[in-house]
Amino acid sequence: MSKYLSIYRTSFRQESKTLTNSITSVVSFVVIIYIFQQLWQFIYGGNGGGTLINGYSVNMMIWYMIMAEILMYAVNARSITRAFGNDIKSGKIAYQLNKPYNYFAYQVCSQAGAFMWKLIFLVPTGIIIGLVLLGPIKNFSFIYMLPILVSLLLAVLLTCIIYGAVGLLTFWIEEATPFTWIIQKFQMLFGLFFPPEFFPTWMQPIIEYSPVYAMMSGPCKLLANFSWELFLKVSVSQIAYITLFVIIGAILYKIGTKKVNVHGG
Amino acid sequence: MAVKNNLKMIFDYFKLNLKKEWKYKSSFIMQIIMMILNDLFFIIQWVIIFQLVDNIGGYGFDETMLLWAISAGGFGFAHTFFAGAKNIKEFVYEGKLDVYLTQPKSILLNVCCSATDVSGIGDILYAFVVLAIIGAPWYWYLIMIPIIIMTGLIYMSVYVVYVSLCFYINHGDAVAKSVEGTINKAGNYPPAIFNTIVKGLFFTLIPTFFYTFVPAQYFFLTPNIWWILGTVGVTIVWVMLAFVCFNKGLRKYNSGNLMGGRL
Amino acid sequence: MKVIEVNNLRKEFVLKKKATKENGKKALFKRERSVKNAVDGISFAIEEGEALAFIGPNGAGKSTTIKMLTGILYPTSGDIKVLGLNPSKDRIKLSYQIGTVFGQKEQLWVHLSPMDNFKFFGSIYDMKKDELEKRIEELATIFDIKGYINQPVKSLSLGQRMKCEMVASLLHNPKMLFFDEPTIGLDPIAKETLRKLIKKINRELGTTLIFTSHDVGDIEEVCKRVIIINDGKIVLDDSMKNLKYHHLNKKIVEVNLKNNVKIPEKDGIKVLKAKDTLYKIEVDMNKTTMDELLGLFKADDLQDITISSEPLEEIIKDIYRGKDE
Repeated sequence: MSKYLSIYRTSFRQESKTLTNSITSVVSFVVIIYIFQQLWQFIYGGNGGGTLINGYSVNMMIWYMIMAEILMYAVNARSITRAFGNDIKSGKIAYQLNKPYNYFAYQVCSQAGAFMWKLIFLVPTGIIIGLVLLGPIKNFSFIYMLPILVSLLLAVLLTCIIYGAVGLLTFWIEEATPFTWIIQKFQMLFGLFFPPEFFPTWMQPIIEYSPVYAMMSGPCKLLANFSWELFLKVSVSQIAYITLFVIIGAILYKIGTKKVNVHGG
Repeated sequence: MAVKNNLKMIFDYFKLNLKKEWKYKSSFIMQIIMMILNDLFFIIQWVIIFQLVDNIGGYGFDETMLLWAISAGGFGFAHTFFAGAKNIKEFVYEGKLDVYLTQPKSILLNVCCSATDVSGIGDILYAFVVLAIIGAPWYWYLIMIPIIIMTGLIYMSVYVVYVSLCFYINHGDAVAKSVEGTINKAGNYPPAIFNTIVKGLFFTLIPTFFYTFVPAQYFFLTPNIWWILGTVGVTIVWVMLAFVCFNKGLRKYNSGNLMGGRL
Repeated sequence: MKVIEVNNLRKEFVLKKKATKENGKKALFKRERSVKNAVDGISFAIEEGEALAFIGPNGAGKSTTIKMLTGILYPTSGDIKVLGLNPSKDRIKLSYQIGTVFGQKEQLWVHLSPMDNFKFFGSIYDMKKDELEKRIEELATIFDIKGYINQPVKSLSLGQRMKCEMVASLLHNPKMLFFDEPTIGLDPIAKETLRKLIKKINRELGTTLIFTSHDVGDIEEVCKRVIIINDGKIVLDDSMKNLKYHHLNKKIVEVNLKNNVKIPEKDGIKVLKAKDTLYKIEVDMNKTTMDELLGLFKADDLQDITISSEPLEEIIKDIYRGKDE
């Protein structure tokens, strides 16, 4: 375990050097939150939080958005898929086979490490801009911070694992990024822009049982309107999907590497 | 003569870049199609929003889509013909301007044209796809062409003005990228949602409104000759500013001779 | 006719120091600045048709000088006239009349063939189509690049690329050609070919050549006049012939012999170091010849031999010493 931790640490340090990118992404994050806040304020008719749309007050909506954008900005889906794709295409993966660690776990940790760095910027920025624009969340207790953070980290991890598994498809197809792109669009439409309640009733259970819920909607709803039952529900979903996609990833990797061996590397 | 030669250079570069990209045909076509699909995807967001409200400050679905069309078109034009501007940071910090400085053409233009982003073609096409979706009259398609050229020029000029900071400070491109990102995002939303101060900013330092709202409102929805002339004027001012800022910065260019001092 | 006139030219760079452990947090907010004079008040003139070399150690200011002459860098102060033009003011006018080849900065598009590149550069210089085609044909013959003129540049060797770079910079028939370290990174054979070509350009096309290098070997063959720069100042401005006679006359010969032979001290032959069978010998070519040295030991005895010029740093020291005396 400690070896994955140190892989994770190294890539954490590398990312810290790209200061320019961090500044730019924080500014862009603030701008997008501001625009969304203005937009929803207008849609809600400017009376801060009195009216409810689909059970959401304007403040709940913006806090939901803040969490969703943190997740969106933290994880660069394309770069995960590319990292896998490049290693497979360049044949570098053959050299990774005899290393004393699991390649899939190595790449996921290294990518997740890079993204955790961004959370150090994004989470405080998100909290500050939320407090400035909206004031404190109603009925919020500091104890909630911990479960929300856990949920956030699990979501980042799950997202890395999913896009990593997509990257492994490069064993069979030339370019896996279009798949990443499609999944990401689902993630945005059914998680980022609107909470599940904004969709037709028949769609809501589908969204709630889909990975999008574990990756996005779940943790976002926790910040908007925390409850321990919801936390339990989200965590179960996250752990189940992490297990599922780790298994899928492991299987893909196993079949894929056999293919490499057959070809003689 | 100089203008003609420089225009010819833009075209030559475009041909050369296309030739380069065309070597990977499937990727070339894929990039364009993916960009159109990507843009189309955002329509769903607005379908849902306009089920919650009728309009946002007078902007309904069609008007909002028009904003998206113009911003995509301008963005596409800028990235199809002037994508090299995005490399200015690298050129300045790594001393890669030398070659351009020894050629008998405007350096800024030379640099900006040196690269093409093929997906930009997809964005330009999308602008016209949107016109079809909202059932625009035929002459809107014609009006769209000069608008795309103007907004594309504004877009790149603003980027160049701010990225010229790279001649003076480290991480200068962070400012340019932030301004660019703001123009790009804010331009797609109905103007009514912003307050007066932000609106002022969007007419001046970060000219988001000239990038989408003004063309949509005063070229298409409620045509107004003064606003049209104003937009032409603003475009010229920004383009000139870009040349002035860039050429002024060039005096500080050190050709990467002292890379050690920067690192 | 003088094609270049330079008077009291200076260029200073401002160095920003980043925060380090030593200067602590203060430097994070207020960076220390220091000014470096890369070129420090130099003056010279060049005649039409000349082949002139700027040599000096790395960081001496030779590239900076050449970049000011070509309009790439703005001088801090001083006057420059190249073909009667001021490079920083008349950059575009000047660029039609000069060509540049920078060893470390390629101008060719690597994904395209040299042919595509030449056609593009021709249009950058507003050349007419038939005129351009004739010129490409002519240069391709001189430089012997026809074998690979239609292959992508990225598939060419460094030496082949360098030849194509030269063709690209000669397309618009420039009156002057500037080379900044053109042989850097090339193998000895490619270097030799390139030097011959550069010489040919000067002799046959009559193009004025300005050349920088930190390799004395480069300029020995090509140039007739040498300016040595060190620390931004001109140390020596003399003909190649004089430089050769006074300063490049010494060769360093290192030999490894099978048996321990005693090498007699002779006029022009000085043993600098002798350890077991290894000898380091300085040979003054004005006083003796290599043959004479090699005659001192049997051919059978020779295990290994290297002959090199005196390092540039030594020559510069030598020149300073000469001035002091």
